[in-house]
Amino acid sequence: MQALGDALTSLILSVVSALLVPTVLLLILRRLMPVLGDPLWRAYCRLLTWLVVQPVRLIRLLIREAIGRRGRRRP
Amino acid sequence: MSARYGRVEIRISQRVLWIGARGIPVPGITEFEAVRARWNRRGMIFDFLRRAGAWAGLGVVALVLLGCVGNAVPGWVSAACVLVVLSVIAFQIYHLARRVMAPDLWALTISAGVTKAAVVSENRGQVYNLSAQLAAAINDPAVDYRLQIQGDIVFGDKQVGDRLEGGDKYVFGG
Repeated sequence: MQALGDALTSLILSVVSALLVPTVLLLILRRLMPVLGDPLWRAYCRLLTWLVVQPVRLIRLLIREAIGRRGRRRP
Repeated sequence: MSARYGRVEIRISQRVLWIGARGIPVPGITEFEAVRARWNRRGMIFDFLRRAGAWAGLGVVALVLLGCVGNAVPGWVSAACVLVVLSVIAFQIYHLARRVMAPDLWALTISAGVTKAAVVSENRGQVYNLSAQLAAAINDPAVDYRLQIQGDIVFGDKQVGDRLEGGDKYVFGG
Protein backbone atom coordinates (compact mmCIF):
# COMPACT_ATOMS: atom_id res chain seq x y z
CA MET A 1 0.00 0.00 0.00
CA GLN A 2 2.88 2.28 0.92
CA ALA A 3 4.57 1.54 -2.41
CA LEU A 4 1.34 2.27 -4.29
CA GLY A 5 0.89 5.56 -2.45
CA ASP A 6 4.49 6.52 -3.21
CA ALA A 7 4.04 5.64 -6.88
CA LEU A 8 0.85 7.70 -7.13
CA THR A 9 2.48 10.66 -5.37
CA SER A 10 5.46 10.44 -7.68
CA LEU A 11 3.16 10.25 -10.70
CA ILE A 12 1.22 13.32 -9.61
CA LEU A 13 4.44 15.22 -8.90
CA SER A 14 5.78 14.29 -12.33
CA VAL A 15 2.65 15.62 -14.01
CA VAL A 16 2.71 18.81 -11.96
CA SER A 17 6.40 19.40 -12.64
CA ALA A 18 5.87 18.77 -16.35
CA LEU A 19 3.09 21.34 -16.39
CA LEU A 20 4.87 23.82 -14.17
CA VAL A 21 7.38 25.11 -16.72
CA PRO A 22 4.97 25.93 -19.57
CA THR A 23 2.47 27.38 -17.08
CA VAL A 24 5.03 29.75 -15.56
CA LEU A 25 6.39 30.70 -19.00
CA LEU A 26 2.92 31.46 -20.31
CA LEU A 27 2.04 33.48 -17.20
CA ILE A 28 5.20 35.54 -17.67
CA LEU A 29 4.45 35.97 -21.36
CA ARG A 30 0.92 37.00 -20.51
CA ARG A 31 2.20 39.62 -18.11
CA LEU A 32 4.89 40.95 -20.45
CA MET A 33 3.10 40.64 -23.83
CA PRO A 34 -0.65 40.44 -23.24
CA VAL A 35 -1.37 40.57 -27.00
CA LEU A 36 0.38 37.27 -27.53
CA GLY A 37 0.14 35.85 -24.03
CA ASP A 38 -3.63 36.07 -23.56
CA PRO A 39 -4.63 33.91 -26.55
CA LEU A 40 -1.82 31.49 -25.80
CA TRP A 41 -2.93 31.23 -22.18
CA ARG A 42 -6.53 30.57 -23.21
CA ALA A 43 -5.43 27.92 -25.67
CA TYR A 44 -3.28 26.34 -22.98
CA CYS A 45 -6.20 26.27 -20.53
CA ARG A 46 -8.40 24.69 -23.21
CA LEU A 47 -5.73 22.08 -23.85
CA LEU A 48 -5.48 21.25 -20.15
CA THR A 49 -9.26 20.95 -19.88
CA TRP A 50 -9.30 18.72 -22.95
CA LEU A 51 -6.53 16.55 -21.51
CA VAL A 52 -8.60 16.00 -18.37
CA VAL A 53 -12.05 15.68 -19.94
CA GLN A 54 -11.32 13.50 -22.97
CA PRO A 55 -9.90 10.49 -21.13
CA VAL A 56 -12.87 10.55 -18.77
CA ARG A 57 -15.25 10.70 -21.74
CA LEU A 58 -13.37 7.91 -23.48
CA ILE A 59 -13.54 5.66 -20.44
CA ARG A 60 -17.22 6.45 -19.94
CA LEU A 61 -17.89 5.61 -23.60
CA LEU A 62 -15.93 2.37 -23.34
CA ILE A 63 -17.81 1.34 -20.20
CA ARG A 64 -21.14 2.11 -21.85
CA GLU A 65 -20.26 0.11 -24.92
CA ALA A 66 -18.84 -2.73 -22.87
CA ILE A 67 -22.00 -3.14 -20.82
CA GLY A 68 -24.17 -2.61 -23.89
CA ARG A 69 -25.79 0.68 -22.97
CA ARG A 70 -25.47 3.29 -25.63
CA GLY A 71 -27.50 6.02 -24.03
CA ARG A 72 -29.98 6.29 -26.87
CA ARG A 73 -32.06 3.46 -28.15
CA ARG A 74 -34.39 3.14 -31.05
CA PRO A 75 -38.04 3.25 -30.00
CA MET B 1 -36.44 -11.76 -30.49
CA SER B 2 -35.72 -14.84 -28.49
CA ALA B 3 -37.87 -17.89 -28.76
CA ARG B 4 -38.05 -19.65 -25.45
CA TYR B 5 -38.71 -23.02 -27.02
CA GLY B 6 -41.32 -24.18 -24.59
CA ARG B 7 -44.18 -26.44 -25.53
CA VAL B 8 -46.92 -24.24 -26.92
CA GLU B 9 -50.48 -25.53 -27.06
CA ILE B 10 -52.50 -24.22 -30.00
CA ARG B 11 -56.14 -25.16 -30.49
CA ILE B 12 -58.81 -24.13 -32.93
CA SER B 13 -62.19 -25.15 -31.65
CA GLN B 14 -65.67 -23.73 -32.21
CA ARG B 15 -64.22 -20.79 -34.08
CA VAL B 16 -61.96 -19.80 -31.24
CA LEU B 17 -58.22 -19.85 -31.62
CA TRP B 18 -56.64 -20.79 -28.33
CA ILE B 19 -53.00 -19.87 -27.93
CA GLY B 20 -52.07 -21.21 -24.56
CA ALA B 21 -54.75 -19.85 -22.23
CA ARG B 22 -55.67 -16.93 -24.46
CA GLY B 23 -58.64 -17.26 -26.76
CA ILE B 24 -59.04 -15.20 -29.91
CA PRO B 25 -62.37 -15.46 -31.76
CA VAL B 26 -61.58 -16.54 -35.30
CA PRO B 27 -64.15 -14.18 -36.93
CA GLY B 28 -62.41 -11.29 -35.20
CA ILE B 29 -59.09 -12.04 -36.82
CA THR B 30 -58.38 -9.34 -39.34
CA GLU B 31 -55.03 -10.54 -40.59
CA PHE B 32 -52.66 -13.39 -40.18
CA GLU B 33 -49.45 -14.11 -41.93
CA ALA B 34 -46.74 -16.70 -41.75
CA VAL B 35 -43.43 -14.91 -41.84
CA ARG B 36 -39.85 -15.94 -41.71
CA ALA B 37 -37.96 -14.09 -39.03
CA ARG B 38 -34.36 -13.92 -40.11
CA TRP B 39 -31.73 -13.04 -37.59
CA ASN B 40 -29.91 -9.83 -38.29
CA ARG B 41 -26.53 -11.49 -38.16
CA ARG B 42 -24.68 -8.45 -39.42
CA GLY B 43 -26.14 -6.43 -36.53
CA MET B 44 -25.05 -9.13 -34.11
CA ILE B 45 -21.51 -9.04 -35.47
CA PHE B 46 -21.36 -5.24 -35.33
CA ASP B 47 -22.64 -5.33 -31.77
CA PHE B 48 -20.06 -7.92 -30.88
CA LEU B 49 -17.28 -5.85 -32.45
CA ARG B 50 -18.37 -2.79 -30.51
CA ARG B 51 -18.50 -4.64 -27.22
CA ALA B 52 -15.30 -6.59 -27.76
CA GLY B 53 -13.54 -3.41 -28.88
CA ALA B 54 -14.80 -1.59 -25.81
CA TRP B 55 -13.54 -4.36 -23.52
CA ALA B 56 -10.19 -4.39 -25.30
CA GLY B 57 -10.01 -0.59 -24.94
CA LEU B 58 -10.80 -0.82 -21.22
CA GLY B 59 -8.09 -3.44 -20.90
CA VAL B 60 -5.59 -1.16 -22.60
CA VAL B 61 -6.60 1.76 -20.36
CA ALA B 62 -6.22 -0.42 -17.29
CA LEU B 63 -2.80 -1.63 -18.44
CA VAL B 64 -1.68 1.95 -19.14
CA LEU B 65 -2.81 3.01 -15.66
CA LEU B 66 -1.05 0.03 -14.11
CA GLY B 67 2.02 0.87 -16.15
CA CYS B 68 1.95 4.43 -14.80
CA VAL B 69 2.31 3.23 -11.21
CA GLY B 70 5.25 1.03 -12.22
CA ASN B 71 6.41 -1.68 -9.87
CA ALA B 72 4.15 -0.58 -7.04
CA VAL B 73 1.51 -3.02 -8.26
CA PRO B 74 2.49 -6.69 -8.39
CA GLY B 75 2.77 -8.27 -11.82
CA TRP B 76 -0.13 -10.64 -11.29
CA VAL B 77 -2.56 -7.69 -11.23
CA SER B 78 -1.72 -6.89 -14.86
CA ALA B 79 -1.95 -10.57 -15.73
CA ALA B 80 -5.35 -10.80 -14.01
CA CYS B 81 -6.50 -7.73 -15.89
CA VAL B 82 -5.52 -9.27 -19.24
CA LEU B 83 -7.09 -12.56 -18.24
CA VAL B 84 -10.41 -10.91 -17.31
CA VAL B 85 -10.56 -8.99 -20.60
CA LEU B 86 -9.68 -12.08 -22.64
CA SER B 87 -12.26 -14.16 -20.74
CA VAL B 88 -14.99 -11.62 -21.36
CA ILE B 89 -14.12 -11.44 -25.07
CA ALA B 90 -14.02 -15.24 -25.29
CA PHE B 91 -17.45 -15.45 -23.67
CA GLN B 92 -18.75 -12.87 -26.12
CA ILE B 93 -17.34 -14.87 -29.05
CA TYR B 94 -19.09 -17.97 -27.73
CA HIS B 95 -22.33 -16.04 -27.29
CA LEU B 96 -22.01 -14.57 -30.80
CA ALA B 97 -21.32 -17.97 -32.35
CA ARG B 98 -24.40 -19.43 -30.68
CA ARG B 99 -26.60 -16.60 -31.92
CA VAL B 100 -25.17 -16.49 -35.43
CA MET B 101 -25.61 -20.23 -35.86
CA ALA B 102 -29.18 -20.23 -34.52
CA PRO B 103 -31.66 -21.30 -37.19
CA ASP B 104 -34.13 -18.81 -38.60
CA LEU B 105 -37.54 -18.67 -36.99
CA TRP B 106 -40.99 -18.93 -38.48
CA ALA B 107 -43.86 -17.02 -37.00
CA LEU B 108 -47.56 -16.84 -37.51
CA THR B 109 -48.52 -13.27 -36.75
CA ILE B 110 -52.14 -12.73 -35.90
CA SER B 111 -53.99 -9.44 -35.65
CA ALA B 112 -57.47 -9.29 -34.16
CA GLY B 113 -58.41 -5.69 -33.59
CA VAL B 114 -55.99 -4.36 -31.04
CA THR B 115 -54.83 -7.83 -30.08
CA LYS B 116 -51.64 -8.90 -31.71
CA ALA B 117 -49.97 -12.21 -31.22
CA ALA B 118 -47.38 -14.37 -32.85
CA VAL B 119 -46.60 -18.02 -32.58
CA VAL B 120 -42.93 -18.50 -33.15
CA SER B 121 -41.24 -21.76 -34.00
CA GLU B 122 -38.28 -23.15 -35.84
CA ASN B 123 -40.59 -25.57 -37.61
CA ARG B 124 -41.79 -24.01 -40.86
CA GLY B 125 -44.23 -26.85 -41.62
CA GLN B 126 -46.07 -26.49 -38.33
CA VAL B 127 -46.45 -22.76 -38.75
CA TYR B 128 -47.78 -23.09 -42.30
CA ASN B 129 -50.10 -25.92 -41.25
CA LEU B 130 -51.49 -23.79 -38.45
CA SER B 131 -51.96 -20.94 -40.90
CA ALA B 132 -53.90 -23.22 -43.27
CA GLN B 133 -56.09 -24.54 -40.45
CA LEU B 134 -56.80 -21.02 -39.31
CA ALA B 135 -57.86 -20.06 -42.82
CA ALA B 136 -60.13 -23.10 -42.96
CA ALA B 137 -61.68 -22.25 -39.57
CA ILE B 138 -62.85 -18.87 -40.82
CA ASN B 139 -65.50 -20.47 -43.02
CA ASP B 140 -65.89 -23.80 -41.29
CA PRO B 141 -67.04 -23.76 -37.65
CA ALA B 142 -66.51 -27.50 -37.48
CA VAL B 143 -62.75 -27.23 -37.70
CA ASP B 144 -61.25 -28.75 -34.59
CA TYR B 145 -57.51 -28.65 -34.61
CA ARG B 146 -54.92 -29.13 -31.94
CA LEU B 147 -51.23 -28.61 -32.23
CA GLN B 148 -48.33 -28.63 -29.86
CA ILE B 149 -45.28 -26.89 -31.13
CA GLN B 150 -41.89 -26.29 -29.70
CA GLY B 151 -41.60 -22.55 -29.73
CA ASP B 152 -42.75 -19.35 -28.17
CA ILE B 153 -45.80 -17.14 -28.06
CA VAL B 154 -45.47 -13.41 -28.06
CA PHE B 155 -48.27 -10.98 -27.47
CA GLY B 156 -49.00 -7.33 -27.85
CA ASP B 157 -46.17 -4.84 -27.59
CA LYS B 158 -43.58 -7.52 -27.42
CA GLN B 159 -44.61 -8.74 -30.83
CA VAL B 160 -45.20 -5.38 -32.45
CA GLY B 161 -42.45 -3.44 -30.77
CA ASP B 162 -39.60 -5.70 -30.61
CA ARG B 163 -39.62 -8.32 -32.63
CA LEU B 164 -41.29 -9.24 -35.79
CA GLU B 165 -42.46 -6.02 -37.29
CA GLY B 166 -39.22 -4.24 -37.74
CA GLY B 167 -38.25 -2.73 -34.42
CA ASP B 168 -35.75 -5.23 -33.22
CA LYS B 169 -32.07 -5.11 -33.73
CA TYR B 170 -31.74 -8.74 -34.45
CA VAL B 171 -34.73 -9.90 -36.40
CA PHE B 172 -35.96 -9.05 -39.86
CA GLY B 173 -39.57 -9.99 -40.49
CA GLY B 174 -40.96 -11.04 -43.83
